[in-house]
Amino acid sequence: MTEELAPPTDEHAEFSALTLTALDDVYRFARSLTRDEADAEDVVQETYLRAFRSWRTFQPGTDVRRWLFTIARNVFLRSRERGQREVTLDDDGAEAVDAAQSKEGWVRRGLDPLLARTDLAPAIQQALEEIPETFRSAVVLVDLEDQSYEDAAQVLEIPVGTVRSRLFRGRKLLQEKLALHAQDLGLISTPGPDRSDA
Amino acid sequence: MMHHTHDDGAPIKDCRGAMNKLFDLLDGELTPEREREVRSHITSCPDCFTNHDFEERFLKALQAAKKSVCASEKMRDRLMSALRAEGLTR
Repeated sequence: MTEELAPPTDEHAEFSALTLTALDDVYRFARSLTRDEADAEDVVQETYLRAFRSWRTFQPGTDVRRWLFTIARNVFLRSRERGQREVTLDDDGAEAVDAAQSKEGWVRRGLDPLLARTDLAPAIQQALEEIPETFRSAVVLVDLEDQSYEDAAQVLEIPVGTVRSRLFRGRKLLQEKLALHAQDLGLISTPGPDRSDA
Repeated sequence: MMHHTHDDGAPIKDCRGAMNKLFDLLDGELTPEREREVRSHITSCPDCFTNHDFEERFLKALQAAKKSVCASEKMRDRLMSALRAEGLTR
């Protein structure tokens, strides 16, 4: 077992300067994993404590955010193992994605007026929390945190092709959730069974 | 953002081929050559242009939404206290 030691004082400033600027990003990612503010804060704190203890293992010049995202995900998975089974199914939500794609015309009609609104962030955050974690993580890393497919694949420990498919599914599910939001706002009507949107 | 590219090399022959690459294009994951090929199709095809415009606006809305979630001051204070207890001095 590797013993983790805190870095010497002259490395503390470097740790603070490099990692604390990413705090909002790490918090957002943790929030997307946990879907709970308090749980996300616990994940963030544990992530930073582990990062601090392991700072000497960080390779200078590499992406510190990717490193922190990886630690955060591991912290989250470890905490979840204690409470419930790990969800690793790539097909998780596949039926919902199929349903979303079958209603693509309706989804688009709903999103078109919605995307023109400036107060969309709360609806997007709500929709993100409603899609399966498998897809949410990929969407958050690539779409919100600007990670490449390759970087997201490293954080999530999955092949790049799986990142691509999870992104596609996650985005389509998000679009359907947002279209439902548009429906609630009266921007579109309910999709009927006889519509020719498929 | 510096991205590596991932491309199966299949030629873009039609709308289906272009739309299969749409998210790769918007995510900056295509080679410059493939990007030119896909963009060439999209700009000459009204349906694909509309699809591209829609997905681009959707992704921009997602990107903009990130600003609505950030760590609270209370969270920052709690974290700094925990790090100092761990030995952080700066």
